[in-house]
Amino acid sequence: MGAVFATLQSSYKRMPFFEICLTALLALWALGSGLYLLRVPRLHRWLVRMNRGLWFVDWGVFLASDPSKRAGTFELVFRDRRPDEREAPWRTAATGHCWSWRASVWLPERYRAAAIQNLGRRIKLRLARTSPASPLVSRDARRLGDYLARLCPAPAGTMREVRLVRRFPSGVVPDDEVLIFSRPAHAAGE
Amino acid sequence: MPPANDAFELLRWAARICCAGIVLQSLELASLWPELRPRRLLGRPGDEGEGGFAQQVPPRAQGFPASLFVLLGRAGAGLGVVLLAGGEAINALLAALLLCQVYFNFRFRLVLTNADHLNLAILAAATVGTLPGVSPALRIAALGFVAFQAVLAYAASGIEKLRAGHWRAGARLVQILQDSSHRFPRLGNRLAARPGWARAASWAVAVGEVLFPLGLLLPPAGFFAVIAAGLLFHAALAVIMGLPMFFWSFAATYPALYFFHGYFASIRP
Repeated sequence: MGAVFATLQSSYKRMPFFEICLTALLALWALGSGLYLLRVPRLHRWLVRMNRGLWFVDWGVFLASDPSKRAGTFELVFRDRRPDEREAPWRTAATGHCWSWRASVWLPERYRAAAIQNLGRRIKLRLARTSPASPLVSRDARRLGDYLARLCPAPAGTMREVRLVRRFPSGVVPDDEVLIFSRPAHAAGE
Repeated sequence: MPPANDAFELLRWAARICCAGIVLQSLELASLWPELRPRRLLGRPGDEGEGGFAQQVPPRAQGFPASLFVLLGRAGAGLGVVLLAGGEAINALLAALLLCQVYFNFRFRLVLTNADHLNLAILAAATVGTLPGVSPALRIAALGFVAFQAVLAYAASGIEKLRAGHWRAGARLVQILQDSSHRFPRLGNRLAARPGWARAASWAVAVGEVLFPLGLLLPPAGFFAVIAAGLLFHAALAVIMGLPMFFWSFAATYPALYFFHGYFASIRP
């Protein structure tokens, strides 16, 4: 083994240019991964922008300082209302809270569960920066609402209404909720 | 297992193990194909307004059925790497798998785990390091890259856990088991009822991860015990938390660790 490394020392000096480039790329990638994890504040933010979840090993993203902490919690609520009914109780379809995500309809398949969890986490992260009415938030919430509607179809002849509600850590619930969709039951899940 | 100083064969082994996991993952996701259709749960994420790579890939290539074809192609290429004994076809397959992994890491962001990032690193290293005719120095650099990513992953995860109060108290472990997409509520409830056990389990995992890199410096018996413990740990996570990809990804880094364990043993006085 020692002999292998002794011959290596000389072979490094004879490396062709493209091999030097490949080695440099790997070294740069490794450096990026390491710096990413050191989380020097400004550098980390820059690397996150550069990274976009693709290039560097992403350990610690879920442990990094999470702006969703400032977002409080959110709930995706729905109700199925018959035409003759003025009010119907709201039911919670899903709740997002700090660090985790719970869908009241449990999905056994891990990829579906992970997708639901990540959608919830993404909604929370976006809520920390913007309002429930933002197009990106409502797009994710709609996807989640559609999926939950397929799992838990509305009774025929009712109108399903899905809303996203944000609750702040202080417990105060300002007028911070938005209609995600409202449609007749036969369209739910299509 | 090839000899500890055969960098080429060790890279091939890393690629084989990684690809075994990729085959299983791709087929499992492909079996959920109805969810890949537009507006479904795993439908195309390209119009999210997040910019970056996804914007540069044509929507059709991210949509259905293209995403299903990529998954099936990825499974086929992975199977080729696992089964082929040698030859330059493997290099072509590895390059194709690397591109598929780049595609996978942005297209399937909603189901991405850290194991997928490690797969990208392993495939890049294997693609580069097994190119025909490259110098041993490049092969060793590729193995070094994989070993560094593994050591970094373990150590950083462990340090983060030790720094976080809710991990040290065992609360986070209980929360994950009770409440996340990786949940195993029965175990979570048991640990919740015995906070001391939850704390001990959290500390054991965190300290084990932090100390994992030191395994490279142990005598062979100690090194193989550490590797066996790592495999058992990831196998347990695969069964309990439904995270099988971590088993394959981390196992795929072990040939690189084996190489550097041999190196450190050779320079020890």
